[in-house]
Amino acid sequence: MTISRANPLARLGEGATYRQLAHVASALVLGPAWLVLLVVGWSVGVSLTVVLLLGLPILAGLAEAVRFCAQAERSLANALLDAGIPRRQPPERRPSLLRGLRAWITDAASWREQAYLMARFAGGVPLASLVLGVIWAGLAALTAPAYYMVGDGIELGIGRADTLPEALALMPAGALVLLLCPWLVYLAASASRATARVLLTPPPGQPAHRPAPMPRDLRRRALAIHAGVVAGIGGVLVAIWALITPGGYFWPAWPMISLAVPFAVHALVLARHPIGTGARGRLRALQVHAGIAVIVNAFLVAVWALSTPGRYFWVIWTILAASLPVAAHAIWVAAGRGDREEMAARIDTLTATRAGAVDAQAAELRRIERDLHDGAQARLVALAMDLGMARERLSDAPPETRALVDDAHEHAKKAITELRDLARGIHPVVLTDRGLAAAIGTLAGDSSVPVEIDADPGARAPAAVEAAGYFVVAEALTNAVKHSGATSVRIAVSRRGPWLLVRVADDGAGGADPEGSGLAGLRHRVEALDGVMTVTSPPGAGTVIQVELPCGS
Amino acid sequence: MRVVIAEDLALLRDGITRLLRDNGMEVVAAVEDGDALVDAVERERPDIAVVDVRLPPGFTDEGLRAAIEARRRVPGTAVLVVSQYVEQVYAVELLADGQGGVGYLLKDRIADPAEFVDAVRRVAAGGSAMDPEVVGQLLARRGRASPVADLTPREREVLSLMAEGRSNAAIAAHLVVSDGAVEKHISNIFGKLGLGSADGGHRRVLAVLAYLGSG
Repeated sequence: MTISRANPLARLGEGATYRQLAHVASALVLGPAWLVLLVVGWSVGVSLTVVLLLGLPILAGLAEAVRFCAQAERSLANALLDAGIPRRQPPERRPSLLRGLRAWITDAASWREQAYLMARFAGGVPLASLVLGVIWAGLAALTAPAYYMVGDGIELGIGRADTLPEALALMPAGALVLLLCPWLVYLAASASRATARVLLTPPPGQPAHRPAPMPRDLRRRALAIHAGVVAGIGGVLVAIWALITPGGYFWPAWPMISLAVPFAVHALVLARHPIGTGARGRLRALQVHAGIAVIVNAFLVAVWALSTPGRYFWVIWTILAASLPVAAHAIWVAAGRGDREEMAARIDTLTATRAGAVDAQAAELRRIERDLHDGAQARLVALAMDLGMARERLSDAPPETRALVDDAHEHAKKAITELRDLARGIHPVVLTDRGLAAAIGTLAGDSSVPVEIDADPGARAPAAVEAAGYFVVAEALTNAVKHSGATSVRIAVSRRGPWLLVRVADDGAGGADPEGSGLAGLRHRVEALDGVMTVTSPPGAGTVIQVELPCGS
Repeated sequence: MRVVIAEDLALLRDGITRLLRDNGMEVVAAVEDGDALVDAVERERPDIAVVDVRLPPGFTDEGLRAAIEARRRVPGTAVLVVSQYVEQVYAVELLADGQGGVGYLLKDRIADPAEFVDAVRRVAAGGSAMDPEVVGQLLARRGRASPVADLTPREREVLSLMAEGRSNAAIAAHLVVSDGAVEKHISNIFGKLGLGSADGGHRRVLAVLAYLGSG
């Protein structure tokens, strides 16, 4: 539906204009109703909760009421303003009282709903008064002669029409005002529609996965910052009070309520049940913060209206006190500070958990090796020994029997050898008690190719680093012997500052594939320790594998 | 012959005890950890201690350290160290005091009772018993620049057997050659390695092992 903006008469004839007017005017009835609902609901609910816990059902009822009223407002905005706001889906299953309340309090959308209900009073009532006042003035001016004829003069607020010419002269002015009224209604309705869309649009359906909870230390820090801001502003207020009206009425109590309530909600509920991380989570947290500030100050407005109406509007100070933390919060969110801190925290977490995973894996490998040593290996040695003794006593037995025992004996010995190689590949014990140089020495001793080693036997590095270095050398030696046909290998282990350098160079055929399964596996192992592995293997010119591993000192 | 055994796994401790008793040795103590070994050696003054490298509480090289400590406290105690793995560093440390009566064998060798008992007797008598795998590692370690590289394959074979602690006669039998041929190889080896006179017995073996174990 398009409305011609150029023709005021066309607007006057549009049904939409009257529907918009109806919506604007509805604030006069609904706004005060919502104010009463929220103020009474919150103040009775919170105060009874503090005293007797009786308020919890009242707060739950308030939550239901807010949900219902917001839904009614959605329908109204859709019907009268063509706002096109989708319905809010009710929760799938009815949670328990406390759980439901907690969800309601931590739900940014519910705070937006309450903010809308408050806006219907705070913004809607003045707006409706203005629009209806203008229309009333226009109508009155247009119909001034009739009033003049009926009565003896008419009070228009803007002036008096005591004579017929005066009344007649008001008619064109009234007509002009009424012709302009559709625009006024249009502007007011546009503002209402925009407000309704921002505050009443329900959140998109539940995300597929819950956002990651905010790390504990970040939550604590957020609370500490909040406490600092509250204490700072409170301190300034008390200082001002002490300077200006020392000993007098302690007016800072009122702004402090406005500071303390958002902080209390933060400390008691949100610090334990954070709204979530990420840009959306932070935006929702800001919305909740602003929503609570609005509610508290609406409550204080009510207190002002009931206790000292028409007198000094002291609520301005509580509003100011509540606005400062909200503004600081908004700036913090807008500046993207949270993104950086969250990322830094995430990196810390990832670094720690990765190191933990690497350590846990190394410990697990040591445990497996140890279990093999104490279990299967020992049993096999005992078995082979028994078979060996049996063999010696069977010298008189039939050849078939002896052959059987001989075979069994040989199999047992082979099994011991194979199991030893397997266990050694899992975790070489000498690495733990004598370090990398000794373990490499054994590898070199078992190699069929001459190996030169340049390593400091006394130098030690963290277990995970030594293990990575060891398996790099083992794999490089195997490759040199099996694939490259090398006739000699040089291994150098050295410490350069915080880095352990391991270099294995052979004189073989080169052309090793750095992405081959063996080398790629080593690379992953090295990179898991924040190390660097380089493979230089030009065809025909040997292979150099070098790793640099941080030793953390 | 009086023997002390240090082995934490009951299965093997009992097995070795049985094996040695069956072969006429007296097992005067069978202990589970390194401290108990040192105590037992000081108390019993055995002819030989058979020690597993890996003992509680750390399960790395406690047995080796305890064996070296026992030899330091009771000089002349023969020590035969058995291990699931052979590590040349362990061998070098065992040989470091330059005294006889040391052996270092893979646990597998227990599977051949006759050879194992022979090794125990040899070590107890002040000789040595080095696992062929250890000798191989020690030889490999010398690298190409070493005089070991100048040995003929036959001489290397003789050197290996010598390092394992075998007598001339045993080497001759193993290689199916005459004693004289073995003597000739040995004097060639000592000449090439620049070692002093080959005066026979375990001192000769020690010289070879000390040579292989040094730097």
